[in-house]
Amino acid sequence: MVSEKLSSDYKFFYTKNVPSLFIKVFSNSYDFLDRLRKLTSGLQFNSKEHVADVEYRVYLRRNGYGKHLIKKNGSIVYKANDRNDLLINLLVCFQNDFIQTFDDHLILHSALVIRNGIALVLPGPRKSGKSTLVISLLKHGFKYYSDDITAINLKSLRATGFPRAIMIRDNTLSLFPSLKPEITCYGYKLYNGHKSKKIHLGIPSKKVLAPLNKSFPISSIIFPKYSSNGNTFISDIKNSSAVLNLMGCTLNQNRFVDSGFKTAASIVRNIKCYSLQIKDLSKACEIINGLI
Amino acid sequence: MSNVEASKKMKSTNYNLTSQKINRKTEILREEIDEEVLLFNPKTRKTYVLNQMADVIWELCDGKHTPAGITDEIVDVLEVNSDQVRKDVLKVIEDFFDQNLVDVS
Repeated sequence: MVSEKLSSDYKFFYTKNVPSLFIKVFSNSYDFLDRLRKLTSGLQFNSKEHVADVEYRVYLRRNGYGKHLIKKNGSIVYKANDRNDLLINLLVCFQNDFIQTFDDHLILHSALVIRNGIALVLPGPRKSGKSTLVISLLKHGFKYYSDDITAINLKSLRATGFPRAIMIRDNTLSLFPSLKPEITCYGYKLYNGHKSKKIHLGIPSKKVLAPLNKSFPISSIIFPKYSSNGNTFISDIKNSSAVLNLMGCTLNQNRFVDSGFKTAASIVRNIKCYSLQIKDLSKACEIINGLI
Repeated sequence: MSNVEASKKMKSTNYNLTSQKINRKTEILREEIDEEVLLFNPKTRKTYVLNQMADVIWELCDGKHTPAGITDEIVDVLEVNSDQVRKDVLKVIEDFFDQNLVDVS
């Protein structure tokens, strides 16, 4: 039996005022935990005195036999032949834990950035340009909270998020001369049989991280749409469209009897919503700066 | 009478306006944001946007009004041509039936 000598503690956004999630990870591999720490640098808190909400055990196979495993609270939740695949999926597990943890929040597929203590929520489906816009906004003075998951408190309508490493596509990398100093980028090759693909994960520096132990009031909700053609402009969005779009981006619809309809309507009633067509990232950032 | 049968009957040119009273289904949610009205059906997870006239008709689908009654209410308030209102009311109620938003009482 492989012994579990190593552990690492992860606690996300621990504070009295913000929902907290304490994850403990054990592994039989220094290298794996080292790489995990690198990808979650800035997101860890020293919280040894607390009991973990979730416990993961990550076993890397020895001598090429069997598969690498992720166990959650004792049950196998993922198997992989590739270490990088295992690492990425462990991060996905963390994200899913976050989504399932918060009963009193609307969880959106949305980026979240902060400026002057105020949040900007950027909901959108995959490939709508959220992460690309976030990277650009970080270079224009915004602080990073999340590029993918935002949680809005149902009563206060304040926002927090899941501060994961930024998933960056190849064509996004080509839009920026350099991601540094705001973001340090790591490339990982994922193998599936004879095929491989490369993904990039961007770690925001501590200087551009928002205080992750806080929730923030929301100034605006902007639905981005990146397009290599056309212009860059922002427009008001019909309330009905905003509600539909929010519901389309809601990840915890099943938590609500009405799939989040009334909550989405309440949010739209209280927070100004826009649609942002993006071709020129710098111009988009100027427009957004003008809103705050 | 099922919704499909009621809808077909509504579409018949000889349909008697004084017959069935129309009732909103209780599970349909309504939200008003500024000047827009949205309906949501939690069973189908479909959302509908109502214009002002459709919203007035929706509110009058209270189990107490037939399509003729709804027409009369609107004509009284708006003082407009009753034939056009009758056609609009029938069309909207047909749509409500087609989308499973209303029942007959």
